[in-house]
Amino acid sequence: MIDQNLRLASLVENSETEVTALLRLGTENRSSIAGKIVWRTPKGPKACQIVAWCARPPDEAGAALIIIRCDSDDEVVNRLRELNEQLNILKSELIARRQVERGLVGALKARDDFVGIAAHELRNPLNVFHLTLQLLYRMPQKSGNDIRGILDKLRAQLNRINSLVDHLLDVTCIRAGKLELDLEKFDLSELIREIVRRFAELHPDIPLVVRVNGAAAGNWDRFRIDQAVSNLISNAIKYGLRKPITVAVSVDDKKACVAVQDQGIGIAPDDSERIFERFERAVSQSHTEGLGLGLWIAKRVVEAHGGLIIAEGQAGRGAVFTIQLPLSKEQHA
Amino acid sequence: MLEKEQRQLMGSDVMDTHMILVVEDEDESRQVLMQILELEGFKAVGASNGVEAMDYLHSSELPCLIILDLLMPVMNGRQFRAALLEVADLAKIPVVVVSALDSSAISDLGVVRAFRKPLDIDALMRIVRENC
Repeated sequence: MIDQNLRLASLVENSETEVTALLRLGTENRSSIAGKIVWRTPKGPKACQIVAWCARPPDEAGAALIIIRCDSDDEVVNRLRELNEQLNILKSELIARRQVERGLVGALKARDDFVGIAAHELRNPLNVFHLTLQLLYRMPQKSGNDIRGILDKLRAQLNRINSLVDHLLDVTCIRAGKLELDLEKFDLSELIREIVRRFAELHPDIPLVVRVNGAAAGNWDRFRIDQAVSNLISNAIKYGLRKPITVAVSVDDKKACVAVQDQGIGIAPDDSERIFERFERAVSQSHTEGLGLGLWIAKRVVEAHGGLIIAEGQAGRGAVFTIQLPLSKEQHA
Repeated sequence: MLEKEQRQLMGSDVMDTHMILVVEDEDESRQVLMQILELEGFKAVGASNGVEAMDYLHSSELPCLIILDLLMPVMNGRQFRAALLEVADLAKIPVVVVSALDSSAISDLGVVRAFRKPLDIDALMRIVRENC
């Protein structure tokens, strides 16, 4: 330490006490320290602001590496300005990173919640499937009709599981930007009648009304439009309080529209956008069947066709979901 | 929507030693489970939420066991269990929870046993025979 003091002391005008104090600070303090020294230069003494820091702490022999950076006052001011600018940039980057981090944490939580919902939703039909098999084992005498009834139940539960898995795969597919449309010319009115007929068979207790004014032909992906409209009707049944549901098709010279109207719990104004997000439901407190993906998928499907999907309604006064589809292929996005 | 309209207004302190109340909102699950219980020699009554189940308990013979789902509309399983514990006669009825939820969500309910779906029907039947 003494040698170091002497070596530095021979280069500067500062007193030995000042040099010793400086070096002690440098070795004791891992962060940088600021000070002032006067260098001996060929052109005479030169006062400098210095920044010193300990690059390597003292070893067993007491040898440490202290880096001393010396600047003239102007250089110090400029350097400080640069450092401040860098600091501000770093602060902005930090804030941005924290926002991204918060987003990622939220996304991870949403994904975890979703995995929980998916597992729960898959367990219910699996449970019915399992119980129905147990029932079959326990039935002492089985007639052909008994077997047929049980097989129908098992098939219905398999269809439920299949539909849930399809939804999960669709999310992955859409998120990866791999939603490809298989366009063909067909009559939307005819498709809507077919979909409503299908739902009416499954839910004979819920009045389903179709309102169609003639044909509405266009180039769309039949399977995907079926899926989007089915998701809307399925939601109307889920939240429609078993009251009548109307599915209306209309057409003008540019677009065809399908409006699904229920008289159920409706949508709170704040929810009309949120419900199209993944894993969201208009009603989050009570238990409803499904993954909460139906509207998200419907929106992506309709948008892939260059169309729009709009939700309207009031809490407690039912809801109307309208799909608008451009008629010509050129209008597709 | 109570299956098996067996409401004979017998008073809420009479316990039927062979009757089981199945509280489950999913129609298929409830109906199939009731059919299995009946094939095993028990009487089964169904309710699709806690309010229906409570209505039943206040107006009919008490069951020897309640099989309870947790996630239900109107009054869920947890709320129903809390309501049971507030009435001395009802608090005595053993409860078995059958839920798609993780068992960690069930530990504080003070029930005889918690099953996760898909239901292990043989294990459930053992509990039923012990209690009914």
